[in-house]
Amino acid sequence: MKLSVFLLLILFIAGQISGKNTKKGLSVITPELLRQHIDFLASDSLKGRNTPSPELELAADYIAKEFAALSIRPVQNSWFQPVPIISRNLDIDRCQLAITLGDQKKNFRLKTDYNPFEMTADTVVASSLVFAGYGITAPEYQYDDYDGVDVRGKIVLIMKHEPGEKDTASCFNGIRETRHSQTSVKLENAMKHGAIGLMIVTDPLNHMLLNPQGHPWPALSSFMTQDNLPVEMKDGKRTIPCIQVGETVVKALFGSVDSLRSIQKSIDQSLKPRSFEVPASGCLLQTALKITRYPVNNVIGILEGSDPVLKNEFVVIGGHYDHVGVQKVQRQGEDNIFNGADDNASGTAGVLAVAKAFSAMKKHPARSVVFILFAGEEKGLFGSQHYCDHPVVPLDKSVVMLNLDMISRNGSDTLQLDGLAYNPDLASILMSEARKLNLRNYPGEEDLFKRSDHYNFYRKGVSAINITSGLHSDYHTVRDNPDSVDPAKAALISRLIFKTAWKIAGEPIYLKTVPIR
Amino acid sequence: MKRNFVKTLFLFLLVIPGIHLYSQNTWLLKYQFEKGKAYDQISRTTQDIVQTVNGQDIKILSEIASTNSFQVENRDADGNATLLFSAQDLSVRSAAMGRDTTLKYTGMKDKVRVKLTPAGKSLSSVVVDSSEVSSIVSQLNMGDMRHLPGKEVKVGETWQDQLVVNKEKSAGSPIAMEITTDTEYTLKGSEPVNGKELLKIAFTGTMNMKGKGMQMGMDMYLEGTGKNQGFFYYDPAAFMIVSSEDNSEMEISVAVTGPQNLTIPMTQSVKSVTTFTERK
Repeated sequence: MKLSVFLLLILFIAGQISGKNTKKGLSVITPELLRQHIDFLASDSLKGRNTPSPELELAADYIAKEFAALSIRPVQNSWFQPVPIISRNLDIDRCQLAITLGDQKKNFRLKTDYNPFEMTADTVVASSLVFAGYGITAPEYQYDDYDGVDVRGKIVLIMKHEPGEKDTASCFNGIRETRHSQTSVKLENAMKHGAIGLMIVTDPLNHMLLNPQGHPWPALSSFMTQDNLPVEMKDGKRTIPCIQVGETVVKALFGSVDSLRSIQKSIDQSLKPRSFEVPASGCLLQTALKITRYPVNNVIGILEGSDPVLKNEFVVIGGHYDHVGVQKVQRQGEDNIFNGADDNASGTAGVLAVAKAFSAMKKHPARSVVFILFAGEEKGLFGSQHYCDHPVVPLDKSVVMLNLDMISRNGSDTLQLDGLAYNPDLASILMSEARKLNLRNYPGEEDLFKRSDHYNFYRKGVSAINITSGLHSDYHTVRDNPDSVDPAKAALISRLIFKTAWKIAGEPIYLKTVPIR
Repeated sequence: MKRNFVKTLFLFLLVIPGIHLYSQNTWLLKYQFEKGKAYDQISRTTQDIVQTVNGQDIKILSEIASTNSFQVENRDADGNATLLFSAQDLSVRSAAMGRDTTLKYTGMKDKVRVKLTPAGKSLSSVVVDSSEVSSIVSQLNMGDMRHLPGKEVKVGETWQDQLVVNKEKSAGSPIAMEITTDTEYTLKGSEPVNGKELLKIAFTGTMNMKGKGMQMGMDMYLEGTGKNQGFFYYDPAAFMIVSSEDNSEMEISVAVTGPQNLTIPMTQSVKSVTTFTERK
């Protein structure tokens, strides 16, 4: 009993010390500090911090300068982690398709006769041609178009869709598609069988249009502007030239569309492959791309832990600093800048404020703390995906990721935590700290859990929750301006993050996660 | 002998009109609506849309079943008819990404008043009443009747028709579109259908579509081409279409620019079956 009282006393004193400890850090997280960061990051001069844009680089420089003024250090002498963001357009002058049958050679025209898919490679291949039905290998249906043909080192011609596409009784899930009908799956299957090029034609039995639709490349379009290119992350995956061909190619190879139609009919009826190597054939296929690379960076700083052992474990605090830029066509008298004050200048300001709070503390916590501001979130969580594939500290030593995304709206005391169910231990700590700050918790909608940077950490096994004040009617509109945010609310949520992170960084707490059903 | 002659004459009298009917080669194809008459229009449309976004094909299947009716309010001296179309029941079933959704509406109050020429071309179209599902109802194209040549046509004869439809932006569609359809019709001949002698008219056509719009601060552009084919049955005695079947396929490219840049290829197959029945 005496011992228990003694332990309680020790814990009480420890708690008091801990509370006093955080006071200094908490005192620097002020609405004025949050306001200052939000006003800069969401100013019109930063033009909505689009990924990629020069204004995003300005925002990255601002964050790096703020980090440099604190007692945190860069990684390998740089605050920046490059994120390989690219855009791809078709290089129409270097694309070619020529087919030889016997001694007859025919050149085909881009757009009217063939058109590359978006997943095509930037390369040239030449070989004989093999027709491989629908290009499907589906052991679950005892069906394989590649059975009995060797396509290694060859260019393969296949049809779109799958057997019995319009047949409700088709073993391929009736009139609903199976994954085998996906063009990307067919490409993967062709590569798995050793093909070096892939040509796809619309199956003529069930479809009237045999146009070479492929991908709507801006370079081939009369109605798209040339800058209408989506940005993507260079994934380094191997691929092969992959095009859609139209009626002219079918007629050259099969004599008529009817011939291909009757082959398709026979496959559909028997579910047996009708694949064959086209006799005396040769094919030259080149798809060429113009790839533009953009300077885009995550900004990272580390506060080293004070414990010789625990400093090799990490608490990650992050958020994205990009937004969606400007509306290209400006209507007279209308605002066209998506300032992104709440989304996510507020979260970025919060991470900077928490970093300042940690720096203000007399002693560093036992564990190290990593502060990351991600680029490219709005384009598909690119920055966090790249970080999780190339972490600067080991992910298996990263015990938690606290993500701040939109923390300055919806009243003074509301809070939404996305991912409570998948992170029960972290949820418990966060909610306990939130109650002390009089923040009322509103459980997040489940589908929001996958919509910010914490999700990439969770996928890698790191306990991760998104802390937000929730969606609102100004979300992704030009009305998300600095004057519509509440810096006091942003400061309150930043304090919650600081207190939670300080607690986890100070003790050997390990947080379990629950898989998504 | 006398009796036999009478019998032969009777048979002959029966055969003559039959031969005449069978051999009639020219038909007047136009609408001749009678004031006060009312019709039920039952349609079933199945759509199969595939969009490719970031290399992934997303297939959306939908089935729209609708019952509308129309009342002939007037027919002027030129034969132009004023029809009041009323939506009645609507069922929309869609399946995409593993989710099935069915929406059912009954006793709808959407009404459209149209004025049609004897060829079925629209002179005016006015929404008289709408409801919370008007964006879906607008996709039913209530008041659109298949065009007829409005003149006499021989069996085997073909005629062309061009239709340019401008669709304004609406709650259901953020893109204003211009759709041009060039159709060639052929009068195939007459056929007995459900005990009635009806004329079968087949058609094939091409479609071109372009559009422009804005949603969530993003500018959207659209361009597409397609083909369609089908047939319909026309009752020459009632000067009215009885049923139609239309199959179409379109390939569409969508470009989105602004806060997000996207280029999305899309294919769309549509099968639509409609029947008209006069209310007795």
